[in-house]
Amino acid sequence: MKTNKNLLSWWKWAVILIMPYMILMGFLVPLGQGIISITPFSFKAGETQQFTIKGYNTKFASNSGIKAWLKHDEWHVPAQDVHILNPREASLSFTIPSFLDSSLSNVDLSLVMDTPDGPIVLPSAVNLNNLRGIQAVSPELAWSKEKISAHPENNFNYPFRSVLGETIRNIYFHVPLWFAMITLFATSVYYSIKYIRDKQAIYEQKSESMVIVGVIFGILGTITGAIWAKFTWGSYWSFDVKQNMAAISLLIYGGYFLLKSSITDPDAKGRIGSIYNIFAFVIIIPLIFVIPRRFDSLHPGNGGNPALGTQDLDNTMRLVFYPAVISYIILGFWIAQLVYRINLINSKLVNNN
Amino acid sequence: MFYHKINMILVETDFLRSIGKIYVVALVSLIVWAGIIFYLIHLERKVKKLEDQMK
Repeated sequence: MKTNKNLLSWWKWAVILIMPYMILMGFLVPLGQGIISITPFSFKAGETQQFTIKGYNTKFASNSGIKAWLKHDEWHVPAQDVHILNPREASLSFTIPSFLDSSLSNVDLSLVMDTPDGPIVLPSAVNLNNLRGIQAVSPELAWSKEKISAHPENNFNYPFRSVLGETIRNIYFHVPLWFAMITLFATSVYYSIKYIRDKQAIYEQKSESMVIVGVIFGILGTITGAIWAKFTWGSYWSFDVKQNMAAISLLIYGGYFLLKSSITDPDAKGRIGSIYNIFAFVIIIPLIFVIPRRFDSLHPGNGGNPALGTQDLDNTMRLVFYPAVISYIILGFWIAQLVYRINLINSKLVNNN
Repeated sequence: MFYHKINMILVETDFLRSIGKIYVVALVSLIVWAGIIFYLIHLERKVKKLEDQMK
């Protein structure tokens, strides 16, 4: 083995530098403005209704010209009056005539607000009971299609999403585990193929160490995903297609360790383990990347959509997410390398004795 | 109705849901940290065994 004068090779320094950046940016950059509650929820068409809203990270000020609209598709009606109670609370009054499409009995309306710090959107904020009664204003005049002009978002922050809240930051701590797991498994397949071709024991040991670390990352991903799910989707395990497929993938790799521990002959162990590893990877690729797309899933990027589109990850988040993925992948290879080196010394000691 | 329920989930009801559920992020990042540390301790034990064998 070649001796390295430097304690750490350059790529390990990348983890040491990127991880603090990821943690600091992940926790310290604030969330944008959002609305966490609106009461009442349903109201009748034609009546003047006052709503009380509670904001999150909002800085409502009475003289700053805050505007509000209720919106369905591209149609919207402005608020008659916006009354600021405090920086986090406001009361909005609307007189909404019945919606233009009278075939709808109930219409979900989104709340859109404009503040000097940028726009706030709450999807499906309230529900309009769309009975055509006495109309104070004619619907054709009240509902407008004109583009709402809002102040641009001028602060450096992560987007506020009503279900996620602050947990949107988990994108930096949970999602990269899966990226690292797949990268480790893919590289282990590369070494398994090398082993089958060259029959060098070191390739087999490299491959195994990467599978071990990949499985650890997968287990951590499953646990952290379950906790995140509990506080956003409502339960630890929703039998979401991606959750199930991830669990099946881990079971397949569990079989890899069982198989290897049941074979005593080192040559057969290496050969059968390598072949199993290649097949395991070939099987999990459709399990994780293809099947979830064919079914409705709570995960973003499923049910036909590509993962991590513009809706799921904005440009500010990309500044932290991509470095986080890189640092998790490198950390995985670092740990795998330690496992490999320990196993190599172990096998050399066993051979000498 | 579905979305309304989801919007209301953000209302603070317990410690982990307080301050926009920031403690869920703390918990998730701590679990990743703990998992990696536990595995490093496991490796440490393996190295120790090897060192004992070399004596």
